[in-house]
Amino acid sequence: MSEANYSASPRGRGLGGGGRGSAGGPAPQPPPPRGRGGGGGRLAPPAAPPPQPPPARGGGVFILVPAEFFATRVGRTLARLVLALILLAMWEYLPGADLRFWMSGPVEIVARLWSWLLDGSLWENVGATLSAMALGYAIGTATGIALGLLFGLMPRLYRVLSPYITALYAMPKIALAPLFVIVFGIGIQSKVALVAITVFFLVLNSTLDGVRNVDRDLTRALALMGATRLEVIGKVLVPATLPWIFTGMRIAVRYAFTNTLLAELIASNSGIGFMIEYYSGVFDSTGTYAAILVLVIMSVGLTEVLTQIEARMSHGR
Amino acid sequence: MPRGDLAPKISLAGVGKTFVTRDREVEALQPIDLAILDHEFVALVGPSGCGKSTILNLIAGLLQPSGGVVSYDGMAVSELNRQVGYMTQKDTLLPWRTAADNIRIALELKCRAVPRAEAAARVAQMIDLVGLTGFERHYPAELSGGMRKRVALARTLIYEPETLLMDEPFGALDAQLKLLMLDQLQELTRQRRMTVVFVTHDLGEAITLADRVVVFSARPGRIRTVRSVDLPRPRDVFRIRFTEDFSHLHEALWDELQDEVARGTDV
Ligand SMILES: Nc1ncnc2c1ncn2[C@@H]1O[C@H](COP(=O)(O)OP(=O)(O)OP(=O)(O)O)[C@@H](O)[C@H]1O
Ligand SMILES: [Mg+2]
Repeated sequence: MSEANYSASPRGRGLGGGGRGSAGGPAPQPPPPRGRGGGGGRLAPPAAPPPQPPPARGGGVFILVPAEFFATRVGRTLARLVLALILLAMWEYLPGADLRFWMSGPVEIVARLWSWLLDGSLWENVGATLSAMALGYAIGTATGIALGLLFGLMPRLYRVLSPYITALYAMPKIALAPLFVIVFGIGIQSKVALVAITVFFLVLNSTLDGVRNVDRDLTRALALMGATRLEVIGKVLVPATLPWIFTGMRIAVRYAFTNTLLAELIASNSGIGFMIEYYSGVFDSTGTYAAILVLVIMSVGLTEVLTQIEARMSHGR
Repeated sequence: MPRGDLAPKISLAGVGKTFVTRDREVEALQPIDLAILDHEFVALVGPSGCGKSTILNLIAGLLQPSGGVVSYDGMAVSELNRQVGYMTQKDTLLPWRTAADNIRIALELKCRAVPRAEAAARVAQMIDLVGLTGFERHYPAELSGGMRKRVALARTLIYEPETLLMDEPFGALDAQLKLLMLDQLQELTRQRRMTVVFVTHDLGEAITLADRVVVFSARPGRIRTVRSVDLPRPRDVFRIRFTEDFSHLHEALWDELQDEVARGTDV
């Protein structure tokens, strides 16, 4: 599957991480957007326009228009478009030849995106990122819920294990990424492992919180009616814990996305993170920006989907 | 009458309960002896905090006594006592189920496995009995306190446990509705020949329904008096309050109770 050609040279890399040039590169490189790990929930700011010439706030233009204009929907959209055009034009035309090397330009970037669209490498890498994320998320969620319920039902077992769980929960999971690469290689498995373990602990913890918060009077009332242990679990424990599980799952989506990306940035052979890492590694700024642009679009899409789901869920009681 | 009738269904022999919390001990119940016969309706009255709920919890096996033995059908209650239906003081409705679904829940359990159609019919009958027609699909959060109590009552009655433990089931109801409920409860428990232990603050309610009224002293709870109510059955719950026997009994018990309530509030 990974045979698609990126317009810049060879691909594939050994376990040793041969092409990871960015660290030792000579010129002051624009740092790739690393370090999105901690923030978890937040989206990276649009990466496209570099912090270059002071954008002349467009005041000159805006003075000609009455202020109320920007209070309307059309006005705002128009203002945004104009602003974007100005910034893009500056990006396209202002930098000199030496800056161009690491800043690239909008036209080139769009052209690169187009070529990726045509040769299929775009979908292949977006697909790789999304499928690693989805698979890791599914595994982490399922195991997190199952163990959360189990520990909730066996508090003594949990008390024995809790120091370990707390320690593992507290540890930044990203530190495990190199280990996973050694164990699973640079394919999808290591990404899935990193995502799964991150999601697992988040969902485990919220499930445990949920189980602990179940009103004991409710479970006892049902047991008194003659419910078996399983019936108590199915009719009281699970429904009462569901909102907590959903909260954990919702938070975990963003972590899953971030960690898929981090895993790809650290070591992998496919995915958007890999593209960013790869192109910056070979000093191909156009490819890097194009990949970042794809990432921005994916992030916005993901946020949109989450917002929709949350709105839908809060409507249903 | 069948010979079993005189063997106690429930017996508390020297049963006391002391709660140990982090910083202190609370003696909720001094050692008491009480035997409740099969098919008997016993009302427990007493000042707040005298251990009435504690007694029901002990009978249900939700608590273990600090001393003495609680037995049911001659066997010590050492774990949950599934022979009893317990309508607790604080209702334990499931907030994510509608009133009707809450009422049905006992019929969904494997130990009863009532067919769907029959369950639906019985739920409808119960809804009618507690006067909640039209509120079947409301969630507990959308019901008033008294309505929730009635849902809880229906949920307990629907599976016809042989023994009913009820902790102030009608506390939140207006006088009129309360009488209607008392009437239904008397009818049902007589028909099904249930054993009932009924906690209330309302002496009139206790005398109307009970075969015996047990008056407790203020905390730590002891039994102050036990009075048999020899009014004939079935009783007319709407009129019985106006009979002479009733008022004599009420007056006598009221004196006892008043002392204790006064003592309870002194502390
Ligand atoms: N779980 C517990 N831990 C500590 N103390 C308790 C506990 N349950 C009850 N008590 C104490 O035991 C005493 C009796 O409580 P109980 O609930 O049986 O009273 P009650 O007679 O039902 O009162 P009320 O009429 O107000 O419902 C109270 O003083 C209460 O503070
Ligand atoms: Mg009580």
